[in-house]
Amino acid sequence: MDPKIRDYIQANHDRYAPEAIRAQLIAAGHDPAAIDVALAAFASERATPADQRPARAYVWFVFWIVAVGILGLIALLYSVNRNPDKVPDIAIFGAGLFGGYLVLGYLIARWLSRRMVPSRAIGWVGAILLAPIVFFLIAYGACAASVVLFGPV
Amino acid sequence: MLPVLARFGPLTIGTHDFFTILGLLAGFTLYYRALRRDRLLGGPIALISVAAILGGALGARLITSWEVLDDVQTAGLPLTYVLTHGPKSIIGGLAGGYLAIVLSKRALGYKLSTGDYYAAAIPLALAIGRVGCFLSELPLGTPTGLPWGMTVSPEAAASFPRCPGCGGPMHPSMLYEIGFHLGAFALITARGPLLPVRGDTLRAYLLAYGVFRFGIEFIRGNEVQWLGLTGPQLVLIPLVAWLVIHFVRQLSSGVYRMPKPIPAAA
Repeated sequence: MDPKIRDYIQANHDRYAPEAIRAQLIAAGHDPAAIDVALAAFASERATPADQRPARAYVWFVFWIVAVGILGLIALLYSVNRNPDKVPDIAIFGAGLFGGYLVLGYLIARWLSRRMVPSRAIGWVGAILLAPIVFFLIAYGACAASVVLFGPV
Repeated sequence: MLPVLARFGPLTIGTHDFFTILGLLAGFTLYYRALRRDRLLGGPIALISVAAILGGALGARLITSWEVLDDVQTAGLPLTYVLTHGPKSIIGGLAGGYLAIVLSKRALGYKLSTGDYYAAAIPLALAIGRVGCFLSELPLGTPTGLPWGMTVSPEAAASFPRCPGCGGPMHPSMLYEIGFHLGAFALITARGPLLPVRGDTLRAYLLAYGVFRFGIEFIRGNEVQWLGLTGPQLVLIPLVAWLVIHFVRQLSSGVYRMPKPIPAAA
């Protein structure tokens, strides 16, 4: 690989679009085929470390999804509260649910992140499919429990 | 006009829903193809896409929810009614999806800008989605005497909560939007990134759409909320301002003047 092409790509890849880099290199007289090979090689080189990111990142990502679930659940509980005399019950129930949701969400996230390191395929399938299903079941269970405790919506 | 696309026994396929899903699928296909071409398709991107869908769905429902909050409270409905039956906004979908992508990238430590890969996908998805809006007989626009003004059936007009122009020909504002998105899609597909900096082609498209949509709102027939402006226009003001500030900063920093490579013959 031509070091002039490689160095230019390396210096500008993160800021500029590949098409713009290619156009600049062609304008400077470089061979288009050599540029394409260099761009592809650089992209492959970059893709590998990106796929092997530390597990910690996934933990926080799944944790973020849990946080969205919590917000939805708080809104749901608020809407269930159509009878003002049940506010203390709902507050206690909501606080318990919030804590349980955080702990459970964190444990799931940790488990998923560990799975992702030895087997990325299982980890990704787990993160994309399993996490929403588990969270849905938790939300459904919480909803059913709130109906039992506080009456129908 | 075709509010219902097909019926299979008890299953009814609504035209609006069908074209919304078709638009999303077409957009994501284009997005993934572009990512695969540049060898960027991987696990983090899949997770970021999930976040984009989630953020887009929430944003679409929430950004103009304040318009109906009073009605929901007056009717004694739960607040979740806003999420399930509230107004939907493409602007909210775009803003929510964008914000979700930024947050999920930060959470994942993913630094490379992938905005340009959405730049052709979003206008295509919106053009297809708007076909569903048009066919399902949503209120079209304000009254017009122009030759291409369109009317809706009396049955459809009766079903709208409000449609000030339904008595005669109206601006087909959905068709104007379809034209804008198809034009943007054709331009970006033909020319590739319009700006050299990663992500700025998407931002330029969003800015152009924001300005266009702001203008279209004057003939859309949406309810005026404040200072003669509709809900989407009020939401667009800070979003467009943010994009204008971004481009002013980019231009003043000289980032669009790319560094020159060492010539091949040197």
